[in-house]
Amino acid sequence: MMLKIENLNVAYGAIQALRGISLEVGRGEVVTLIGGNGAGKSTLIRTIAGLVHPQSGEVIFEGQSIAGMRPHRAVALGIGHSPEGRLVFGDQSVRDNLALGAFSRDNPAEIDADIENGFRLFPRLRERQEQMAGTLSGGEQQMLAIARALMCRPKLLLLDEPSLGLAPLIVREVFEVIRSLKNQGMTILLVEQMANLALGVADRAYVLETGHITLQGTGVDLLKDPRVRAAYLGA
Amino acid sequence: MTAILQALASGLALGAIYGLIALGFNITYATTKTFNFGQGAFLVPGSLVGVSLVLLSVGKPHFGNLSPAEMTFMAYTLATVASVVVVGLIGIALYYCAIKPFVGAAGLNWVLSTIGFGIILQNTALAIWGPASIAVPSPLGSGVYRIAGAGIRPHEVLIAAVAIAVMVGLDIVLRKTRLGKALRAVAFNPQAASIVGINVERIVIIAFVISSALAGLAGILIAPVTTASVFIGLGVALKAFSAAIVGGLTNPRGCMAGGFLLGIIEALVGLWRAEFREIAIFLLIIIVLVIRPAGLFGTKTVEKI
Repeated sequence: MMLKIENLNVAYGAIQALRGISLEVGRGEVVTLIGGNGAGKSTLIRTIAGLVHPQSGEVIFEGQSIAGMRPHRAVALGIGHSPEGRLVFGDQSVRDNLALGAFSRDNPAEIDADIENGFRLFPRLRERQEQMAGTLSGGEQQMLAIARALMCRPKLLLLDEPSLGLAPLIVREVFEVIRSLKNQGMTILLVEQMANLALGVADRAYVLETGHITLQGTGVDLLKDPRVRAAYLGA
Repeated sequence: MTAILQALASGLALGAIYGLIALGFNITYATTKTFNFGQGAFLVPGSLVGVSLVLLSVGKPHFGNLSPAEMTFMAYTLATVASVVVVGLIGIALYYCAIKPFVGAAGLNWVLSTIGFGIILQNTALAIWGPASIAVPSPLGSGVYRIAGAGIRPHEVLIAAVAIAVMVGLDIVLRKTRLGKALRAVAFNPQAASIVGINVERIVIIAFVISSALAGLAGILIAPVTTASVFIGLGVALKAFSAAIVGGLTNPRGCMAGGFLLGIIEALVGLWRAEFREIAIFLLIIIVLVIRPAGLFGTKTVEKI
């Protein structure tokens, strides 16, 4: 297992966000976490990334406990994170955003090569490479956030709500890239409100409701599950 | 006309000092939304450490007076480096004692803690050096350059030249280097910076070291004009703070411009009537803030959660 989460509890003050969550992500697997607003999906991602400290429970990455580790250390271990709301550096150029994504690395030639890879993945970023990230459209910012997360050469890629606020056409484009990353063997933990898209790309999925995991299975199975269809697919 | 030229030169030198310190306010404010309210006290070791080192090197006690012959250009350069390094290191102590416990927390505890740290620093200096001031000769001597009839003191030129070089250098560092980009990333959003692998706390410490070192540099640069003593600093830092606010606390170039603006206005008004200097400056500050609350070159920051 690349990532193993055991009995994780997280609270913000008096609000219990995650209650006894356990889940696993295997090497090369795409796992998605679906659920409504406030279910705790982002909290889980943020805990893995080191932005939130759990009350109790374990987060084990490649056999090493990383619960409560500071975020930059998690990046150095190989956890790339495209956060909810994108958080690109608006006052710096697209290229500099990508270079910052490689902050944990040293070799300038390799970094330049990886920036090229990012441009190949998202050709639109190449056109805009000298533009300030803050002037990009929402979809372009999302592409930049994903490309930036890839710049640390992650073993595990955390994608938090990549479809948020994007036009359907752009969402499809972003998911095509997620699919191609999957085909290249990238291990991905994807948090998404658009359950049909997420389940379509995922090997396995967990359903999160008010801090509990209520269902799990393969993406295909959950797509067919009547409870999932009723709650998340509008069917 | 010659008097105006003379005042402009003094104003430029004074403004450069304000600009250096204001830039220090900008760097820590951008990265932490805090700054050192006790910055004035950091000019004190800035002036005294370097000067005492020169005194000791010529075999005098650390609080004596220097003859012009003893203040060679080399001695002054080494004194400057020593002051910048020592005060920069004090910046690390400032971070751990007065900033780290309070940064990110609600309230204004950091205001009092930084003022308190400054008072402790100033009184420590008082215990080491006593209340007397040390006359510091300029390494360029006490003569004057005659330019278009105006008498311009070489040390003022030196202050302006060094300060401008440092400002341009920092501007390039902020824009072009990996460290500068990381600093700006932290300033933009610390959380976003942390998830790309930047050690945010280390960047913040570097910001406080730079900020403190700039105050130290201001202290040693201004010493030949004001003398070196435990009591320089407070007034200068208050003006520098005003410069930062007028120029725009969020904009490094604005802070520098604010410094020069204040220095030049102060010198020009002083030419007319010295007692109106402060009145004119603080009136101007109030007017600017009414018209442009974020400062002349500042941008209104929108706090996002």
